[in-house]
Amino acid sequence: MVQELLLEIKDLEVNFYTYRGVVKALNGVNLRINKGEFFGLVGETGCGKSVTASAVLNLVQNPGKIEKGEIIFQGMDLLKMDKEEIRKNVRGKEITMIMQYPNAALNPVVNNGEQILEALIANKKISKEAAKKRTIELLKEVNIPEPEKIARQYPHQLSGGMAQRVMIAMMLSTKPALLIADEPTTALDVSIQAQVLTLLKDLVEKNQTTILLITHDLSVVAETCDRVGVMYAGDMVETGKVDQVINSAKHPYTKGLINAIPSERSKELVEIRGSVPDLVEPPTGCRFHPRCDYAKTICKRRKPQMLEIERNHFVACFLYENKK
Amino acid sequence: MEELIQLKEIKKYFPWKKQKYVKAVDGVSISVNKRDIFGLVGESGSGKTTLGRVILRLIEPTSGSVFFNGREISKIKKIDKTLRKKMQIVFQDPYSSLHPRKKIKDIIGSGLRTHHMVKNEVELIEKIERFLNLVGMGKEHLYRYPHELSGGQRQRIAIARALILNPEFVVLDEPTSSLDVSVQAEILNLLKKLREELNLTYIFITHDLFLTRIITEKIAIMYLGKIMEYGDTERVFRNPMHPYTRALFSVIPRLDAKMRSKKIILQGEIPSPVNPPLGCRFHTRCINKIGAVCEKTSPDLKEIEDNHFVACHLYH
Repeated sequence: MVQELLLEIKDLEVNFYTYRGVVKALNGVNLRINKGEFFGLVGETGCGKSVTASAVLNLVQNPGKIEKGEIIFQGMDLLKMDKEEIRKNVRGKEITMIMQYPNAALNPVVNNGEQILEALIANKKISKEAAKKRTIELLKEVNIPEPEKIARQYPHQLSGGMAQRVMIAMMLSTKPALLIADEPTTALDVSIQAQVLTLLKDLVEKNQTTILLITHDLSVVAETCDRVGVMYAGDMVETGKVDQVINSAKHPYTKGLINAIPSERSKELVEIRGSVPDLVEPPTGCRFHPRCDYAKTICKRRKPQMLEIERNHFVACFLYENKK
Repeated sequence: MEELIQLKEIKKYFPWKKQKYVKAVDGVSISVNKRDIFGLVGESGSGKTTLGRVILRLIEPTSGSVFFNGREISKIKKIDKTLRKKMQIVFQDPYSSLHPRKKIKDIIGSGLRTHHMVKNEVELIEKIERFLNLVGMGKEHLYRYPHELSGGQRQRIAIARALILNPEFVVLDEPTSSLDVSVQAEILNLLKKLREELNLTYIFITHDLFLTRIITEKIAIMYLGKIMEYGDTERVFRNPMHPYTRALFSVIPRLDAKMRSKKIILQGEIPSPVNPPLGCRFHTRCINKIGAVCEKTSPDLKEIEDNHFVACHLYH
């Protein structure tokens, strides 16, 4: 089965011009997402995963600036597109986004049904009657019980899990090609998280929606995603199929991350020495080198490029330069 | 094993609107042995944070007793300073629990001054430096402000602040939930080390079950103000008995595919603690519900195997 490329990010560089100095947030990020995939972008604080998502939607706010790169979606470079064009036809239509705190994104003075209705009418030529019907259908699709009642209620009456499902319904109403989910379950209880993740996975399978899931939780990615990209301090360090990256992790940071995660079998947590660098003065060469047990001289001098280490499994690390 | 803390039928009801109550903690009895790390696990509304505060008498219990070193401290009118020194707390959010306008030196040192534990400025600085080193930081941090530190560093300061008063017992309320995974590992290893070195007893509050296996010896799983299951951490992990515990275990995301089993996805939402279900709190979402007995009678905690208690009619 040939995988069709839906989104390709090439050499994306983003800087934030702050009073403290220039934060080099994205250092040339490369990413490919195929149609129908459930892709997990994982990394810790400051790695740049959320900035990457914002860049796709051209929502990088001042003082951030996209310095260079290409974001190719359905054959067109979003970074070269007219901003009005993106607003009208891409954002909220072909590419939609859900975030960590759904209640912050829902309008508190409009009832839940109206909000979905609004999204439907704005994006499709559809009568209000048809839109109302579709709204209830969408709420059912996201497993909301008593959808007519919930539609009449307001966001503050919803629990975190329900609010997130209303957001998902809204963001799927336009049948987008790509749904970006930025830490959608981080603020939810484990039992509710399971409900929402199962829903997202079902939606990917049923509707062939492509999902880009952004999270700091590698275990969540392991359970739900097809492919994963690991980011560290503004760099993509490893990408591949989930079982490749987790069962045969190649990058020292990925390995470190795996060892630091509490699991049923681990009796102790192994630390990664040092701490995440300040991106105003990031380390030279490979940004991970100060914390890496395998660092060589070249690691301080040059930035490693992504190499295909086995089919579909890429890693940016000088340990593998000669093993192509 | 000597008992340090005993809770007998602790209830905490917060008044809410007209004659209604949020029954945050609704009848909890546990005992914590000296030098144990006791895990209190639960989701939102379970009552774990309220219970942690009640033990320290930061919040007064509505009813029930708290015993510390054999002495009933819940009935004392005002907690004296000596007692306060012996029990400390580290909060979840390192960003809001440190005073943003105080220097690290003053954040850590103010307790020492209040309790007259040092004679002069020199001794104060010496002691603060010693504790900074203990938590893996240095004297260069003495005159900095919290905003200059990372989350992990701030949490270390919070730990130093709690420990410098030489307490016997520390409540750790989700101490690593706001931190990155790699930082969490450092902080947990530090806490374990300090427990050994300083002979401490911890109550470790968390929503993360796997964390408890790494750090706790005993564990209590709470739901809507009551304890569902409780006992030696190893036993509870090897043989989870309560349907809620089993559901929780099944839905926690796991890195290792081989360790995953069929997920018990709990339907519906966690009920409101203002109107908790009658009978067993969990019956509205329980896949093993027997029938009327679950709806009418709240099951007691019963010892099903050595050091392993469950509150469930399935086992009565």
